Amino acid sequence: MKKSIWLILISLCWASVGFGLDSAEIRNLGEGPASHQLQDPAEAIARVPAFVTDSRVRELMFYPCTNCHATGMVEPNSNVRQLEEMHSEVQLQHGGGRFWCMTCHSEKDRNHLTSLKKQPISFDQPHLLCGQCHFARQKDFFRGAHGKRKGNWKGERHLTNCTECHNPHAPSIPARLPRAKPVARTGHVVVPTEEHYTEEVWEQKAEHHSKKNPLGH
Amino acid sequence: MKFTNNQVDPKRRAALKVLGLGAAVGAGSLAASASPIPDVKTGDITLEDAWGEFFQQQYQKMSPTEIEDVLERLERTYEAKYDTKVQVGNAPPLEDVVFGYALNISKCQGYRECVKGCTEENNQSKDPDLEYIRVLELEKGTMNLETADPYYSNDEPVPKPGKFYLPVQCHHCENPPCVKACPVKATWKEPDGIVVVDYNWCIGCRMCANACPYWARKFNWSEPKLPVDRINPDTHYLGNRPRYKGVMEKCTFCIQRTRQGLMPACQEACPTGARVFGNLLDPKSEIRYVLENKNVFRLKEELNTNPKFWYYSD
Repeated sequence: MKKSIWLILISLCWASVGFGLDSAEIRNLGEGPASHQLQDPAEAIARVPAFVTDSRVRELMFYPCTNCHATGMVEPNSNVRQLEEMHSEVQLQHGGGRFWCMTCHSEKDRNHLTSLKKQPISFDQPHLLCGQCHFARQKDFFRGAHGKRKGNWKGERHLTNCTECHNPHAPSIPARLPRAKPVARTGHVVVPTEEHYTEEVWEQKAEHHSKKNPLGH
Repeated sequence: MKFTNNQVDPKRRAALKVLGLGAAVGAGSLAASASPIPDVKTGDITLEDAWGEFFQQQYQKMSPTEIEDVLERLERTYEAKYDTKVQVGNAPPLEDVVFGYALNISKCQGYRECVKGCTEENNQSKDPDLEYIRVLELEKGTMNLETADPYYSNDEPVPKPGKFYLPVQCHHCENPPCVKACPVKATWKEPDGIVVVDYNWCIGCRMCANACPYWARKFNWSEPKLPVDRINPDTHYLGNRPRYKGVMEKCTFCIQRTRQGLMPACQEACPTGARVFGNLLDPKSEIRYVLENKNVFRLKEELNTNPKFWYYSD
C-alpha cells in the first residue's frame, strides 16, 4: 500500500517535470533575435520593428570591389600579411589578431560580405554581420538602445548603420577634443576642481582656514 | 515693525477708482478706433506693439485669436529687431504623447556636441553664452555632484581615463518644483510633459531657479546678444523664440521640433548615440525598451520630482 502511494507520488513528480520542461519559459526561446542560434544572419531582422538604414555602398571608396578583384586580375591571397600596395590604410585591430580579411569579406563574391557560415551579406547591412558575435548589441540596435535614430521620433525608423560610427577594422572610437567649455556667469570666476576643498578640514593647509572667501575676492 | 497699511484712506481709494476707470475707458476707446496710437517709433518697435506687449495676458489664459495677434506682433518685433523673418508657431501638444528621454552614460564621451547642437537650435544668448546642457565630468565609481566638474578643459582629449560624463539638462519632472515656486504662473507643465516658460509673463524673480535641483533654469542677466546670422527662424512661442533681458529660460525638449515629430537637437547632435528620445505612452518606442530592459536611474530621485529623464548604462 505504502509502496504504491510512493510510486504514484514519484510518477506525478516526473510528470510535472516533463510538463515544466515543455513550457516556453524553460526552453527560453523568447522572442529576441539573440535567443537561439540563427541559421542565416538575415533571420535576425525577421521579428524586430521595421527600420531603414542609409546605403553604405556609396560611401565605399573602392566599391564595386570586382573592379580589381574580378576573376584572374588579382589572385586571392588568404595569407596573413602586411598590406602594402593596396588597402594599406586598413590597420586590422578588430579581434586582436584572430581575424583576417576573409573572415568577413567573401573570397568568391567580392561585392558582398560573408557570414561565418559563408552566406552573402550586403555591404548595406553590416548589422547582420556584426551581430553574429555582438548579438546583444545587435538586439539593442534593433530596439533602439544602441546606435542612433535619425531625424524623427515617430514614423519611419531611420537608423545609423554600424559602420557609420565604427570603423569595422578598428571599431573602438579614439578619444578626441571636446567642444568649448562653458563660461562662468558675468562677475563670477570658475574655481578649478583641484581647488575645491575635497579633503577633510583637518587635512587642509592652514591658509585655507585663514582665507575668508574661497573665491579669493 | 509694520509693513502694511491695512487702514485704507477712503479718499485715496476713491481717487484710485476714478483713475483706474479713466485708464480702462482710455484703453477701450483706443482699442475701438482703427489706429488710435500715432505711428511713433519707440526704438525699432511701434508704440502700438509696445502697448500690446505690456498688456499681454498669460499664454494659457489667452483666446486663440489673442494668441494669433500675439504671434503676429512677435514676428513683427523680431523682424524689426533682427532684420530677419522669424516664424513664431504655437503647435499644440500631440494626442497620446508624453515625452521621455534616456541617456546612456556608458556611451557619453563628454564631447559637448549636444551643448553645441542645443545652442545652434534654441536661439540662446551667444555673449554671454547661455547653455541649457551642462556636461559634468565625474570620477568613475563616484556620484558626488558637488565635486563634479562642468568646466573640464577643452584642450585635452575626452574621455579622460578614470572619468565618466553626465550631461544634465531640464529633466521635465512630472512633479516640477519650479512650477510650484513660480509666483505668477509663468511656467507650467504641458499635457505632453514638457515644462515650459511664458517669457512674456515671467517677472524674472528667479524663484524657479532656486527650486530646481538640477540647475536646469538659466537666467538672462543681461540683454541676450544673438547675432543675426545665427538665428534659427523656425521658432515656437513656448520654445526657442528670442528671449528678453530679465527672463528665465530652459530646455524645452526642443518643443518646436518634437511637436512636429522630429528629434530634439541634442539627440541629433550627439555623435555617440547615447541619447534616446521618444513617446513614453507608446509601448513599442525605443525609450520604453530602454526603461524596461536597461539599468536606469534618475538624478536625485529621493526628491520625488519624478523626472522624465533617465540615465542608463550597459
